[in-house]
Amino acid sequence: MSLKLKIIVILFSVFGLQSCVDSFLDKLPKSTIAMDDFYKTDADFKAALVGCYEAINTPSIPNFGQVQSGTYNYGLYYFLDGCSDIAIATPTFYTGQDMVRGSYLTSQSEINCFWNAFYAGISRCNYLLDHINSSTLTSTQKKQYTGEARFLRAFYYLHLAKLFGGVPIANSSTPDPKAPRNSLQEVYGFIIDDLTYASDSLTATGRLGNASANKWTAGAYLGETYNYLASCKRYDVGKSLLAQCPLNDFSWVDAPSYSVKARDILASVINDGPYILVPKADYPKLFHEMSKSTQYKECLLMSEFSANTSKGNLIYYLFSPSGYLYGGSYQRVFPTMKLYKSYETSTVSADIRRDMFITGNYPATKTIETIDANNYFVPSPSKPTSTSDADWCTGKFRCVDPASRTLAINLCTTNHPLMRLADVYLQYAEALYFSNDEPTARAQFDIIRARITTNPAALRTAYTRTDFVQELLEERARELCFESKRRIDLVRFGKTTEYINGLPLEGTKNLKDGITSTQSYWKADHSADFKIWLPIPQPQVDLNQNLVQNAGY
Amino acid sequence: MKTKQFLLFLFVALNTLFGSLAFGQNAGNSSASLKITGSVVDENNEALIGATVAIKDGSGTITDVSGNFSIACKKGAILTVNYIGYESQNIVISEQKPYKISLKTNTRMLDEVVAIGYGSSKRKDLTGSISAVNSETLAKTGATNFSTALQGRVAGVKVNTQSGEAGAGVDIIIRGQNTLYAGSTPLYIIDGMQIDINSSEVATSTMGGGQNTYNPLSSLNPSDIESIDILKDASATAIYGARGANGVIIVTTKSAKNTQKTDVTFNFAYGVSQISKTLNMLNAQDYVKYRFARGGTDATTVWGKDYGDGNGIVPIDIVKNNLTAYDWQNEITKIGTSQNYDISLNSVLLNKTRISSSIGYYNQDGVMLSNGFKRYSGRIKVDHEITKKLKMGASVTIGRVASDGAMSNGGTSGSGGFTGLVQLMYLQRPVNIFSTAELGQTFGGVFIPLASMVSTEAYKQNVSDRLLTGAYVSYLPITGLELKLNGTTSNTASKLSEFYSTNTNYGNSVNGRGGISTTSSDAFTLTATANYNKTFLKNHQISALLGAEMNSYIFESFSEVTQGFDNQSTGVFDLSKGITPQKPSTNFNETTRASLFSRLSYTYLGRYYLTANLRADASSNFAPAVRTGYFPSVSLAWRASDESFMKPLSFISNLKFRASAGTTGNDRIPAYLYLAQVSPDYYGSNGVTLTGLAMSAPGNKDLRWETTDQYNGGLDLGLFNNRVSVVADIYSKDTRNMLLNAFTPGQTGVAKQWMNIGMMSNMGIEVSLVTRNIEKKNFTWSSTLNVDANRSKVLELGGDSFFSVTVNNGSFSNGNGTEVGRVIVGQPIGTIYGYVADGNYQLSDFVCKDNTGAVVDPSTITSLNQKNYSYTLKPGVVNFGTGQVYPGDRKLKDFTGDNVITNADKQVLGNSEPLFNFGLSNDFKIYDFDFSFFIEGSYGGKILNAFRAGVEPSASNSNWNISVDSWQNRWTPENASNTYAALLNHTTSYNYLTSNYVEDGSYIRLKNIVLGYTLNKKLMAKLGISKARLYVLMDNVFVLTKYTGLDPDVSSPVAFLKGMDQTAFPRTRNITMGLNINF
Repeated sequence: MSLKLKIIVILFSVFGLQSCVDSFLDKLPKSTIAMDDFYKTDADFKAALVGCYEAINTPSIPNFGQVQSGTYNYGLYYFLDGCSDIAIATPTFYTGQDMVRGSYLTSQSEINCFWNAFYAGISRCNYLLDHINSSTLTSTQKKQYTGEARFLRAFYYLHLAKLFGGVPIANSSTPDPKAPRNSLQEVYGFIIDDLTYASDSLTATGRLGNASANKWTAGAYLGETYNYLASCKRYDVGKSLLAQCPLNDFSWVDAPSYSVKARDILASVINDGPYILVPKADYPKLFHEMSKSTQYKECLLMSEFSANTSKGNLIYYLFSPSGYLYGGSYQRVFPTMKLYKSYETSTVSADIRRDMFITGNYPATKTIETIDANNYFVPSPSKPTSTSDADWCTGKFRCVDPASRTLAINLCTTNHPLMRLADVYLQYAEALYFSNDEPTARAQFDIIRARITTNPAALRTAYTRTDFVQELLEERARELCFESKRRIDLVRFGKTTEYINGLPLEGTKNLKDGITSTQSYWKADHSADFKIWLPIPQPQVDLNQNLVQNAGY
Repeated sequence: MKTKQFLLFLFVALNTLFGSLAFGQNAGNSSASLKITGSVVDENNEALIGATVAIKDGSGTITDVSGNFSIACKKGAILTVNYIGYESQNIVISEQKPYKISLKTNTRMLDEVVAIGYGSSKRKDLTGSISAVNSETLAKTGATNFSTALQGRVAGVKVNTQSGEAGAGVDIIIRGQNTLYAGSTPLYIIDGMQIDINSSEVATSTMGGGQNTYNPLSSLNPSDIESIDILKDASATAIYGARGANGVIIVTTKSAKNTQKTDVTFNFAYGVSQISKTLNMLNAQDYVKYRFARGGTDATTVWGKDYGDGNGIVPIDIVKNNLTAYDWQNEITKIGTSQNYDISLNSVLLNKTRISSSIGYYNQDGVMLSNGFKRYSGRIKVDHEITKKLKMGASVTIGRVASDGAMSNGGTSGSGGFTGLVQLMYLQRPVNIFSTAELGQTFGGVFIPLASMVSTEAYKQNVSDRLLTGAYVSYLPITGLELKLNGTTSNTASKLSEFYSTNTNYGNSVNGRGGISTTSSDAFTLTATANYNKTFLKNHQISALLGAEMNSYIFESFSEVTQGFDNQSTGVFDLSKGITPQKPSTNFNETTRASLFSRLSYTYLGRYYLTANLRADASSNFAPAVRTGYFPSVSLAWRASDESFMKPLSFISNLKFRASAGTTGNDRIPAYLYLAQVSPDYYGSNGVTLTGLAMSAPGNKDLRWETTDQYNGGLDLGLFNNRVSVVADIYSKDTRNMLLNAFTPGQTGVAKQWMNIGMMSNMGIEVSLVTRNIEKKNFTWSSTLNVDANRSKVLELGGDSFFSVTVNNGSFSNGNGTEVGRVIVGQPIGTIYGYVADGNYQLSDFVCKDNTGAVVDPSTITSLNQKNYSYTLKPGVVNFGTGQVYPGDRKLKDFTGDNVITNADKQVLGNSEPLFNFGLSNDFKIYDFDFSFFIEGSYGGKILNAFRAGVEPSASNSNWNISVDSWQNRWTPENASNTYAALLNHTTSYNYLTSNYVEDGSYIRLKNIVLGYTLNKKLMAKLGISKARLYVLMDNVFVLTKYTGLDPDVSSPVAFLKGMDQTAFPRTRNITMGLNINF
């Protein structure tokens, strides 16, 4: 056999081996799951939907790393109640204090975590939506998954838009990485589309049971969105900043018709939905770790945790009494004296909420109270005149005695309410008022207050303000404090600078003067008008030069 | 003369080839038998005892104690005379007469055979850049693994050890790092088996522990190695295609050579080692003084307990108060010892079967308590000639490494803070004295009883095995053509067992903690080659290679940690006693490659050389459509010294010019990255966990190998009959399509995606100079000098101008992700990035006031009254914005002009890339003594001495011990120092990385001294010993350096800041005595 022939034989056998070589080289992962094998069955889509929800409170996102300082894992609690008139950060020991007192810069990592986590949530929704049509699911199943995914996408965009203003809209799983910011009009158009779809197509039961958003959740968020837009328009939110960043304009909003839309859909949530305001006896259970069945009666959506090391809620970041060894917090945020004093204390019509929400720490000598067959330590009462941090806590949320729990001492299963029927009532009151029905609007306050005092009539007298909006904001603070509402409430009524600068010079901790008078530089940080928007995170601007920065940063 | 020798060689070689194949049998029949006698001598006319004298047909003999031999052969037969260390010689028997054969010392330059990919070549015929290290040089280093033995020995090869611990990881970079995220280590070829360094092959702790790694090749006994060839330029490495960009290290183990007798070699060595440098830390009494001097409320709260005469704040006198003082460095270290035994047997049976085998045992008792290292190695290699045309062979190499130690890996550095034994022996307080808070706690989270970490309360053992096997069949169907099928496998298995009882700091909080991690790897390489050599028309010589290869690598890992041991007596050996098992983890990944390759070499007149390579590689790490890459190279060489016009310049014995260009690749990234993947996530529902899946990696279907284009120009020069030889190379390497895990805008839902973007370059010069200075009968002196300089530069990072290099914990850390360096476009890798120090804040920088608000004259301020005053910076003095500053705090330089120190004031503080490295060895032979010493060094690299910041006082460092220097020279009102800050340095409470901690890493090290004595050969021959040598070897004798850390040989686990020193297991100075006996 000549050499030439041999070479030819070798070459032929090489080509003949081609398919053999291909199978030798086609290696698929075994420890991880390739996406090509996913998005096929109902179980796959259910798992994908869990992933869509997870971004609400995830501590980390694969590929991004740690993001908990920007999600409802804990970071968002701090910056949605901080930079307001009801909460102030401790001076040290917490890197996120800048978020609470408004002294953040564009490089603040919490802001980048928030951006990344919620865009990751949007991306997960888009992956699900991009794969649903090619799946073999029934049309009912498709409708369910599409509805929930579109709700969540809107939920994430709502947060981004409320905090950053206009942001880039990504409506596919492979969006343009260099896309510029869309205007608020475009973003809210997109949000309202998604929420309307969810509200119309979802039923009362979500795919993930209690944890899922349903028809009523979508309705409540839709109503809240209309209210938000209408008040931003009415109160000229950010108008002075438009010259520098025109895409955060609200002038396109048709405020009267949005208020009517809000009124109608919120009325439907209240009247047609299954949710109730839990009675007075059950009221504390709304904030107690193990009383979830009570919470599901009133909460339309919560940031949900579970008894699993991968999904436990980190106790020490909660707005709970100080002392994490007993189910309490590190106490990184303090209530302001203004909030404390906003509650009625006269013996005939005392508001029970003050001492539920503002407490001292867990004292050395422990008292146990049993709620729904679970043991909780009882915090000591707050002492507003004390200079000790331990006597002045945001003590709203309570965790069980850690000894009775299988999770590690720093983890609990306490859920954080995101949309509670009490909020829906207050949103409804607002919509009624701006739809020119002030009497019915004010009547909603009575419904809220009926369960927190022994004498509602006297309380009404004490709380009534001629300025409806003033009373609304006060009532929202009293009812919804530490539930991630306050910062946005101040922004949408144009009150941020006024309320913070108007904080009384009393008490040991308040946002205006900080912890000591020498730290008054905080004031300049937080009261600037441009602080109604967070800066677009510096790393994002560096990676995508098409992202214009918000005014003032 | 040279030409004659060459022609003679050619004649002999061709005769051997053709003669044996075609005419061998005929020649045998036609000649009459002669009895030939003769003697074999060296260049000095000294008899060579035990030299082999063999005839081509197989019979042969060895020389006796007088160097004489006698042999029966036929007229025209060729006698081949071999002696280790000498060039072999062929003698054509023409007549019956005594032959006196004089062998020349092997100069190891021109006729040295070096391994090239899938073959070998004489050094004189090389067109590429290849360096070699032989077994003798390896032996001179006394190194326990071959990787460290290369340190300083080869131009262009930078070797850094991660620590002084036996078996510690070694980082080898050839001609500069040319990749960022893909593997940067060279490809190792051990007897044909392709091995990528995967440090995970040695199981590491999953319950915390260092980022330092063990060397997965430390199971290989260096005395089994015949030679190490290092392929540097593209001409040499392109034959390895997508795996060649980082250079290739070919390790060839020993084979039987002596056809006439069985060689038995016995090596024995015993050594002692001691820590080469300690840090000067405060003693117990000074430590107490320091703690009191921290002032403030410390005097009442730090001590918390009345140790003295009743008033609670008395100064403590260590002796008077009967407190035990500890010198931790002394207490947990000792003199280490080591023993090494190996025996090897090399034999040729019936002139058909060559057997080479060895077993070895090495045992090191480390310089730190409870630390030890053992290696068991064994090897057998058999080559058998079935017929003249058919050969087969097989080999098995097995090695086991067992290392012990509570923190044998050097503990944590870089992540998790300073918790390892190697850091704590400096930092641990030298006296058992506690604060109020600590008194009530067992260990208080800060006081760690070091004794428990080196006692039976802590257990840590790693056992790692490596099995290498190989088998081949070689067939010579026609003259000049060799068909060969070669298969090799590599298997590793490693297991780490750990247990920390409740009586250790690490086990205390969880009531005992035990765990096991295992890793294993299975790899094979199957290679088929056809090699064809032919000479046409006398002067045209070609050599062609065609090959196909399949390669597979599978890696698996497993780990399990359990806590809560009510009964701890069985420790890690019964994990079921732990009541709270943690999540176990397993992982599997696999990479396969299929390749075709070819090489064509053409030589004209033995003077003009051309070599061309082409390799095609398909790698499973990339998507099917893009997974095949083509890697060509071409090289030229011209031996000018053989030209007739050079004849007059007779002092030039060799002059060759080489040039090469080619493309190599790098596919060394984790498997499956091109695939989009989903991973689990969790959400709660009524307290119950829902498990979901979401995209965790976006994948990239276009991902492909990284490409490095290399250019090399070289010169080989020999002068005065090669008494002086020079090899010089200049090179440039340009890497493009770099595999980067690039940041993407978060709005895509992806933070990072693997992409082929970015470019970097390396340029450099290498010079090796070998001189035979003196060659007298009883005195020879030769020197080898190599110098190299490399400049790396990042050219592009996919549109970014830099990315940060961060550490999670450590001296400069203030939480997660503290920036310590940057990879910057236009700069080399290894850039230290931080603030420029500007001394300290002095009293004159402040307006000082007393508590009534009256201004105080600074000259009246003393250490005692200092705390009674308030200090306000004068306008215009650089400040930290809202951060409070006190006299004696570190001052930093402002570069933005706003007088305020912000992130924007950070600067490039230095780079760890040296300007040049060098190694110089001198070898002497004086009568029966041999003596050599080796010096190596590096100039111009900077080191970030991060650990120094850890042993200086700062506001956040409240309990650790500090260095004597920082205590004695601290800033006080009386000592307006600008070198060390005041004790409570507030600005460094933010742990700023400043230029203070950037030090010159230049050094000159007397690395090895070896003194050997060869016992009288004639005497030994009577005992049946052909050679016996006694030697004493000193390793790491001393270092000249300005660097203040333990050793300037620093290799940090932080990938882009290798020059960061967070301290590691200390380097040692070793003295070894040994004996080599050849039977």
